[in-house]
Amino acid sequence: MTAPLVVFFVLAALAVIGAVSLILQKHPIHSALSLIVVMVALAGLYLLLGAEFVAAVQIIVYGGAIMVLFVFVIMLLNAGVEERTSISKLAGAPGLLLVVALAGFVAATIAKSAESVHAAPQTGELASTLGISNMIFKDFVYPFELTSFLILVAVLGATVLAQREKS
Amino acid sequence: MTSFLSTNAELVITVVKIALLLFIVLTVNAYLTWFERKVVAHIQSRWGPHRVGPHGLLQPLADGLKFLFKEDPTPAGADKFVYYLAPLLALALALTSIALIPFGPEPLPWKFYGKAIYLGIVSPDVNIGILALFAITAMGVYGVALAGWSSNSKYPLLGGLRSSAQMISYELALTMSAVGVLLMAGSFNLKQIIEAQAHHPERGLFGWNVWPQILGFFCFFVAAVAETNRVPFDLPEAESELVAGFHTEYASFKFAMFFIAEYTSMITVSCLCSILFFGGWLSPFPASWTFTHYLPSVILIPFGLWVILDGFRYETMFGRIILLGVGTAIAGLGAVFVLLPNVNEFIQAPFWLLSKIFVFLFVYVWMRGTLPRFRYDQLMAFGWKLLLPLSIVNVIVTSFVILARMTWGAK
Amino acid sequence: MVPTNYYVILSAILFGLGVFAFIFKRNIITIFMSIELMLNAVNLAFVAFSQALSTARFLCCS
Repeated sequence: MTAPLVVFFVLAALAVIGAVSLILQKHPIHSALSLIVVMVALAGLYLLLGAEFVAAVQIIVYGGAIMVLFVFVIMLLNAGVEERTSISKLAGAPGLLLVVALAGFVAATIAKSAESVHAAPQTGELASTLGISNMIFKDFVYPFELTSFLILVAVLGATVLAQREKS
Repeated sequence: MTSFLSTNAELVITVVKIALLLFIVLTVNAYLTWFERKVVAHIQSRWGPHRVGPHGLLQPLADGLKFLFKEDPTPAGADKFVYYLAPLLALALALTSIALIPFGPEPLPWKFYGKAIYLGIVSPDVNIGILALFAITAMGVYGVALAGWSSNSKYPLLGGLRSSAQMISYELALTMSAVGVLLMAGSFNLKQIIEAQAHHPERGLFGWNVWPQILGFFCFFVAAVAETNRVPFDLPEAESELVAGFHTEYASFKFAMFFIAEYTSMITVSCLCSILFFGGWLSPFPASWTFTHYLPSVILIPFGLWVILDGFRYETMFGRIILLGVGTAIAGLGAVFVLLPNVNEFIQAPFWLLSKIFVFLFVYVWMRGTLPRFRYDQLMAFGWKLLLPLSIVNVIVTSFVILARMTWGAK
Repeated sequence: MVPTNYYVILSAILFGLGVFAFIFKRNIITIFMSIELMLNAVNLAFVAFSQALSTARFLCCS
């Protein structure tokens, strides 16, 4: 039971508990907090995988911006105070079984086919900040610029939609 | 027992360092409140705390006891879990950010079962040092927003929303203004950022990042003050405006947790300012002036003697004893540095870093005593329309200069 | 080191939980959050594969 394995199991358990708590909580704000726990646990897993830049950006972007947006929306709109999670018992049980089957199928397929793939050896430097920025700004600069353009269009669209109608 | 220590040496060192740093940070916080009250009082021509202990030095102790024994009501209808979570979150995040700051480049001269002991919880080589600090700052919004919402009351909700909107807006300017420094240093690693400012050790303080990045420094400092919700950006928690903003419904110990979180983030921001822009642990004097290595002793010994002298003339007996003890300790520390040269060499780096942090904390407190606060719309306009464009301009200009140097390069 | 399959299985579990939340929760905000959960699960699989490929073989032993 080496140390990385122990850390993996702790973080994985945290992530799964957060996801289960997302489902079981009645109030959306508690679901949002559970999702934040999942995000932080995933950031820890990325650190364990050696992708430190991705881990930090996961916390900054997902934990610090996207989830803040969710929390604001829930707070401002008073979204569904005490949502009824009376997941009808009849549908819940087979639903859970089907989801487990789906997840198991996905996992088994990938795990089986994974062992037969061999890639050319590369250095472990692709995940570093230098490697990522080299890829973004040299090899994939056109998709990067197009993506930022797309985000700009989305922001403009949201601003236009949020305008009050000129009566 | 020794075999346990020798196999888990790293873990034991880290745990001891965490406990020590936690104790030190909490004590510094307590005395920072004393310092703030004294300085603001003297700015306003009054004494400040001066009854509890000599010169009010035991006032933080009295405040701590008060916080422990005060009644702690929970507002009716508050979401209990989130209400208890918010101050915990704020405090935990603020204290975590101190763990990422290196206080000195070299480890202590003694090894513990073969492992070097660095100054700073994580050894100085965190490859994403400053990015992780920004990540922790980004999460700090939750403490405020959740506190405001969970109190189930108008003033906290408004205060919390305003405060968290302010924090998010200034976070952008904060990270953008630090990018100029990152471009110059070429790394997120705090130790390498400081070393990049030491390329010309004979320039002393003129090699620091603040001179080429003066615009970046001002943007960073202003954004950091806004991020920590301090004057002049403390409208969301100002007494005359929103009762007390997001921490209205918090009493005693939970309020103390918010308080400690705010002062700890002040300390973190001061550390960041000194590391990024003011050379961190580098001395402002050129490296060839080795006589300046006696500066810590030159400051400490007269200060200790002055405290002793004050102790002789103090009114109360209790005060006299404490002042004599404190003065002797300070003067003794200064004497130790003079007498032991290798300790003196080692102490240079942390001494300069701590002095710079102290200067920034003084500037924070000075601003609190002097400046009026922004109105909320002025605050938001300032952040989005002035600070963010300025920091982006800083990044662009820095990139052009670096590119020009690389193309037609000199050094 | 942690075998790659463990990350993939965790990713599948999180994805499954996201699908369950997507189908059975009634609040629209919670449904959006479950979409985020699914995206993050896939992201975890990406990063796990990226590390596995860069070490030139999948780690298979505990």
